[in-house]
Amino acid sequence: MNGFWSKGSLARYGASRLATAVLVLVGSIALLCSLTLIVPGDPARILLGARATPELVETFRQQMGLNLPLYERVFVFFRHALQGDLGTDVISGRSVTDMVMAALPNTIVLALSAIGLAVLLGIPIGCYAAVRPGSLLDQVLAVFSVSLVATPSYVVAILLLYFFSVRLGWFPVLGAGEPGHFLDQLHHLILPMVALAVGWVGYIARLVRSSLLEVLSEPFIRTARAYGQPERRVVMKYALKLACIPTVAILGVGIGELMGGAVFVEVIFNRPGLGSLVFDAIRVRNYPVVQGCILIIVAIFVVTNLLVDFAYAWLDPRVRETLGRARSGGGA
Amino acid sequence: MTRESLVDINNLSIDFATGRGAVHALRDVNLSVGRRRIVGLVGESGSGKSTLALALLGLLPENTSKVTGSIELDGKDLLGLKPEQLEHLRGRRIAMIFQDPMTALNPVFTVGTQLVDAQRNRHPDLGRKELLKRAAAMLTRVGISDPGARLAAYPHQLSGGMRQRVMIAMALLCEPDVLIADEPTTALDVTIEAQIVDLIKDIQAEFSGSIIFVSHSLGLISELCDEVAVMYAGKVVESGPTRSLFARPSHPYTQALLACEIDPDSEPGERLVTIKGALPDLVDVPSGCIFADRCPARFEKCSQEPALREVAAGHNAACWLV
Repeated sequence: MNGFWSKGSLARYGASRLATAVLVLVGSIALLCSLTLIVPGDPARILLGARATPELVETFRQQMGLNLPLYERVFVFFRHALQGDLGTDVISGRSVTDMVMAALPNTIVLALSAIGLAVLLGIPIGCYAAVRPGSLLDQVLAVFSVSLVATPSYVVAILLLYFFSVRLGWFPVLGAGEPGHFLDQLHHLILPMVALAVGWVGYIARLVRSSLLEVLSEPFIRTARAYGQPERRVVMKYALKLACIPTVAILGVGIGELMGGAVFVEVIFNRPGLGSLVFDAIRVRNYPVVQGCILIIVAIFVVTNLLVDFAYAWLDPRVRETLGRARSGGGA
Repeated sequence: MTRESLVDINNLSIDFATGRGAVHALRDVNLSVGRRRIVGLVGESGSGKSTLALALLGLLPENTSKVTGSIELDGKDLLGLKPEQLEHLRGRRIAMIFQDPMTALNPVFTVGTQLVDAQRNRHPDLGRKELLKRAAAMLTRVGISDPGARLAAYPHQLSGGMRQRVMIAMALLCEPDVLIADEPTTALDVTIEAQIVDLIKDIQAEFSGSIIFVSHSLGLISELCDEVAVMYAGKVVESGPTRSLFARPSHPYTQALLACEIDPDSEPGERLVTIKGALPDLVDVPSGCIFADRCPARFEKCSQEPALREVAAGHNAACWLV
C-alpha cells in the first residue's frame, strides 16, 4: 500500500542514487589524482631512489600514468575500473584488483563486527540510562560514554594491545589469524574490534539516551500509557523505533570515520586489510594501489549511505513517502 | 447529589513542583460523575481541567509534588493504587480521548497496530486478527469509510478529523466505564467539530459508561452534557445540572464565560466580550475569593473565601452573592 517499496518507485530511487554515486566516485578519484600534483615528492623518484636514471624514472612515471593530464588519468582509471581492472602495483607488479579484493573481507569483517558490537552495547546502555534519567547509574554511564567518545581508536588500540596481549597474553598481538581457521581468526579479531567499537559505544549510548528521552515526552507516548500498555512495550516498541532514527543517520555519516579508524587499528594490529594496504601504499607513493583502495572505500561509503536511506524508509513511513515523491518528481 | 455515582472526587488537591515553588494546580476539588452521565468540565486554559483528567488516569507529570484527597471509582480510591494496578485499569475501565489528534498518535506505527495494542489490556485473550477485526468494525462505527485501508495507513496519511475519529474509536474499543474526552475538538475546524460532537452524542445513546467532557466551550457543553462543573484557577466555582446552571448561572465567572460566547446576532466589527485580567498566580494563591480580582461584583466579603452554596437542587456556586 505504500508507494516507496513498489517496483517503479524503487527503480527511480535506485537510478537517482546511482547517478549520485557515480558523481561521488569520479569526484573523489579526480581529487585523489590532483593530490599527486600537490603532495611534494615525485612518486617515481621516491620509489626508485636518488640514483635512478632519468630514463627509468620516466618509464615508471608512464607506468603510473603520471605523465598524462589529470582528466585523462581519471578517464583511463575509470575505463579500466569498469572492466574490473584497478591497475597494477608498480612495486610488486601484482594486480591492484587482486590486492584490494584480498584485503577487503578482513576490513569488512572488522568494520561490521565493530559496528555490531557498538550497536549491541550502545542501544541497551542508552535505553537503560533514558529510563532512569538522573539516577546514579545514568550519571556513571554518562561519564563512561563521554570518555569513550573522547578517546581516539588508536589510543584504545595501543592500550588494549599493551594490557591484554603483552601483559596478560590473553589475545594474540599481531595479524588476522590462520586463514580458514575460524576460531583463530575470531581470537585475532576481538581486540581490533573492541578498539574500533569503543568510541561508538559511547556515542550511540548518548545518542539513544537523548533521543529516547525526547520521544518519551511526546504526547503519543502518553496515549500508549493511557491505554495501560506495559512500560516495556511503550519504551521498547513505541519509543525506541523513533529514537533509533537519529542513530541510523549517525551510522551512515560515521562509516567514513569508522574506515579512518580502521586504518589505524589495522596498522597497529598489523592486520591485513584495506586500511593497512592504503597506509603502506601512501607511505611509498604507490598511487595505483592508493587509487584502487580509495575507490573501494568510497564505494563502501556510498553503499552504506544507500542502506541508511533504506533503513530510514523502513523506520519512518513519512520518509518513505517523501523519498518516493521527491524521486518521482525528479528533485532530490 | 444523592444519586449513586461512579466516580467520586473528594477534596482533591494537586501541586506541581517548579523552580518558583509549588504550583497549586487543583485545590479542594469535589466532583461526582453518575452512571451513564455526561459531565462537562469548563474553564479557561490553566484552570486545572486537564490536570483533573490526567489525575483520573494516574498519569500526572513527574514534577507532581503533592496529591491529597481521593478519586474513587466505584468506591475504590485510585490514589492508593500501585502503578501496576493503575496500569490494569487504564484502557479497561478508564479511557481517554486526547486533545490533539495530530500528536497523540505515534507517527511510525500503523493505525491498525496502535488500535490493536490499545485493546490488549481490555481483551488480553484475543489475537491480533480478532483485535483488528474489532478495530475495523469500530472505525466504521465512528464514520470512517474503507476501514481496511485506514488500518494499514499511518497517522500522517489521515486528515485531522479522521485522526480524531481514530482516537475516539480507540477509546470506545476499550468499552470503558469512564470515558474522558479532553477537548476532543479544539484542534479541528468547525464543520468537523460539529460532526465529532454529533458522533459523541450518538455514541452516548448506546454507550453504557459515563463521559467526562473537558472543554472551554460552554456552547458544546450545553449541547452534550447532563451536568457541568465550572473550574477556575484549580477550583470548582460552580457545578450543577446543565439546565439549572445555564438558566441561573450564579457565579460571576460562569456569567462572564457565558457572556464571552460569541453571539450569532452580533454586528460585524462589534468588540468581542472578554474577561479582564488574568488567572491568579497559582504559586502564590491570593487569599479570599479566587475570582475577586477580576470580578465586577466584588465587595468587602470577598476577602474571605466563599464555600460552595446551594443555588438550586444539586446546583452549587462558590460566591458570597448566592
